[in-house]
Amino acid sequence: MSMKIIALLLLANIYLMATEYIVITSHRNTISTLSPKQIKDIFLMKRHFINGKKIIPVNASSTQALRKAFEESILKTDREKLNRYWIKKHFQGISPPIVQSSENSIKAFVKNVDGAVGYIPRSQLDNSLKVLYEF
Amino acid sequence: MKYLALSIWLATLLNAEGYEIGHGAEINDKLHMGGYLSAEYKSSDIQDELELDDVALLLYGNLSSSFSYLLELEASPFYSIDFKDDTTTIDTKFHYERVYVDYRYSELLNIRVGKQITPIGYWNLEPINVLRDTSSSPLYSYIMFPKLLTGLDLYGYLDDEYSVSYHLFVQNSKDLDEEYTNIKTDYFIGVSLRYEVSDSLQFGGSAGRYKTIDDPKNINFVQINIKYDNDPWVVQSEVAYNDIEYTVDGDNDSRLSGYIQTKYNINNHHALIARYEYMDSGREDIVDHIAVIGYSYRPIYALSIKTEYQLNSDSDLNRAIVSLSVLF
Repeated sequence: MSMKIIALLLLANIYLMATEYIVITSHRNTISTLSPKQIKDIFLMKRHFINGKKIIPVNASSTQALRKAFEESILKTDREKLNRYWIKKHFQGISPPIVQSSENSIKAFVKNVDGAVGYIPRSQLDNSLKVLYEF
Repeated sequence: MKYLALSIWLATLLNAEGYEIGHGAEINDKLHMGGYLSAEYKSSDIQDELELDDVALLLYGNLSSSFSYLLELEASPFYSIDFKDDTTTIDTKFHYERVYVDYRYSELLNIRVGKQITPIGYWNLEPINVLRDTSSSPLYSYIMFPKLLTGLDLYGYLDDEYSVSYHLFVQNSKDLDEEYTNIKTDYFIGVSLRYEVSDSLQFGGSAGRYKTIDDPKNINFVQINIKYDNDPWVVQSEVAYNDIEYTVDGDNDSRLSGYIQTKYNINNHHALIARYEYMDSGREDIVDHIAVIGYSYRPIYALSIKTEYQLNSDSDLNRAIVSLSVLF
């Protein structure tokens, strides 16, 4: 019995850890969900539209733990490979997404800019934001 | 005067806030600055040459949420010394390598107007030394189709998963800067498709037609390409076929060229490269086989030091190349 409880607690813990962060947009945005592939394409500036709606990604600053978690879970790559990717994009005339330095500024950007999509810790979610994906 | 302008450019770029080598400097959303240069030393039985090969300036940015632009000016070869002839050549004229405006309309349809890189294959899309794995480019990349296009490109993704992309391009005028292209043409039309099977595997192909101005010919081409990129290995191959109609004598000809290249990344800084190239030029009765062995060292990704040795079926053309290149 006790083993079952421990196993359940472990599973619950794994679930909570797995959904520590969320991808968000404002309620004005008509999209309601995004797949990991769509999020990846948006933040690599490959994709600029979802269902005909223009999307503007906003990144956390590179020193934030949030950014590292996003890169590992969604982009599934490391800094060195991302660095190579953006150097190649620089030659193509493509810049990385806009960066906001704090979770509050990411939230403010997403609330105020039409089509903006960002990511924050789940604990920062409030009623003005819509969850598109959890990771 | 040009040296002074170049110095000012470089000083402005390197001192801009947030400048990072290889990523340029973002002055604001409308203006992003960058540039690149490369130096090459080539040595063979018939060649002993040092070149400051490319000096290029890059400007790009967003004009609005839908419009963006890019301007690239390049001087090549900027400065060269031929040790065999004991001559020095300096050419500081900057040419229009790319000048275009992009309009993002939808997932399916985007429009690029101006002088741009022809959207064919892999090699042609990353043509500068610092982004390449070898100092030299395969013969295929020079002779099978115009590297640059002055015209219109319609492009986008054909599926919701963004796996299948297309380009439909056309040129119906002379090149914006005729001195600065591999094949002078005033008519060029084509289509290319790419399918990304996964993050590590993709393939595609192109087909089209162009008309050359010098030695007038109508050339139909087809091309295929495949790339496997799964660290530490990268394998890519491209092959193109030309069906040639000589407009003066009405004669027909054909040409086939391609390459296969393998790169092994020893780590993030060191890589070994091997490439085999083939070219069969029908009427000229030339069949070329070229093998290239190379080594690449990148202390940082935007700074590349490469060395290679080429073995050619015409042994007079065997040569060694050492290069240093950087993207600002």
